Amino acid sequence: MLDTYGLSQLPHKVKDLPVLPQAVLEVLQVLRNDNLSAEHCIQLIEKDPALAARTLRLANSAFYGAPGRVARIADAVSMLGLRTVSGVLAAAALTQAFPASACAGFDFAAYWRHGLAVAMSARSLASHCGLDPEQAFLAGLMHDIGQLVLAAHFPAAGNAVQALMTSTDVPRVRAEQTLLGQDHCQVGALLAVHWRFPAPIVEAIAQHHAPPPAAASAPAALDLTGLVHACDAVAHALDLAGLAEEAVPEIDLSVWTRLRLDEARAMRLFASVEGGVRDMCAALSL
Amino acid sequence: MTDPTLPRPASPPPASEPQAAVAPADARQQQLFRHTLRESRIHPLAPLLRRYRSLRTLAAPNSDEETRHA
Repeated sequence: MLDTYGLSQLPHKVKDLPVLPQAVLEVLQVLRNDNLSAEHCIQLIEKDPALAARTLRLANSAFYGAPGRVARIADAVSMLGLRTVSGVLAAAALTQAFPASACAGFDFAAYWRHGLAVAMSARSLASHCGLDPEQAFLAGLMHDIGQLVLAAHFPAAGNAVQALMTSTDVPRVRAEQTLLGQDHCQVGALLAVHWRFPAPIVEAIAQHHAPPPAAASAPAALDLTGLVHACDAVAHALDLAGLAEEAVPEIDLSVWTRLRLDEARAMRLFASVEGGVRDMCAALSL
Repeated sequence: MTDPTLPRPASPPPASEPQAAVAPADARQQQLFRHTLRESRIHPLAPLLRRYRSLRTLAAPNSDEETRHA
C-alpha cells in the first residue's frame, strides 16, 4: 500500500509524543498494584492546581452525591477512591496531551463523551465479570486513543477516513483499514506501550474491535478486551456522543454470551452510565 | 384566506401527539442499529435499548410532575 498519508512516520511520531506528566505516571502506578500511599497521591495532586481543581470538581459533582461539600483533596481522594482519582488524572492528562486545537475537523468533545461512557460502563460491569473496576475504567477511557493520534498528527488521513465513512457509511475501523492499511486500535496500542500502560490495557486497546476467542482454560470468563468490546457497543447504543452519524458496532456473540447481561442489569447499567457521563462531562468541562 | 369551496375536514385529524413522541425515538434507534439491520439481523443490544427507552418515556411525565411540585 502506498504511504499516501505518511503513516510510515507513525512509530517516530508516537515516540516523539510527550510522556505523561510525572504526577500522572506516579498515580497510574496504582493501577499496576504498586505501593502508592494515599498521602503520596494527595501530595501529587495538590502540587498541580489544574489536577486539584478537576479532582474537587468531580468529587462535588452530583454523580458522587455530595455537591458543594468537598473542599479538600484528601476528602476528595477518600470519597472517590485512589483508583478513581487516578482515572480522572489520566483523563485530565490526556485532554492536555491532545488539546482540541490540535485536532482540527475532529469532534473532540464527542470523542471524550464516548470514552467516558465506555469507561463507566466497563467499570460498572467489571466486578460482575471478575475484573478490576478501575483498570476497566482506564481501559475504557483509553480504548480509542489511536483516533486522537491520527486526528492530531495525521489530519489528512483522519479527514480521508471521515470522508469515506460519510460517503459509504462503513464503520470507522473498516474505513481506516481500507485507506491506511492499519486502524486506530493498532495506533492506540503503540501509544499505550509508549505511555507504559499495563499489558491488559494495551491488549484491550489493540483488540477492542476484534476480541480474541475465549481461553480454553476458562471458556466462560470474559477478559478486559472482551469487556471493552462489549462496553464500546453499549456506549454507542446509548447515543451519548451526540453524533448524527452514530452507529452501534457489531458485538462478538461469544463476548455477548460471556457478558451475561440480563434485562434488569442492563436497565441499571444504561441509567447509571447516562447519568454518570452527564455529571463527569460537567466536572471535566467536556 | 381559506377557499370556502374546499371540503372542510369533518373532524380534526387523528391525534398524532403520542405517535409523534415515539416515532423519532424509533427512527433514531433504527438509525443507530442500521449496520446490523441492513444485514437483516438484530443486534443483541437493540431489544434492551428499546425496552430502556420505553421505560424512560413512561417515567418522564411523572418526573416532570415531581419537578413541578418540588
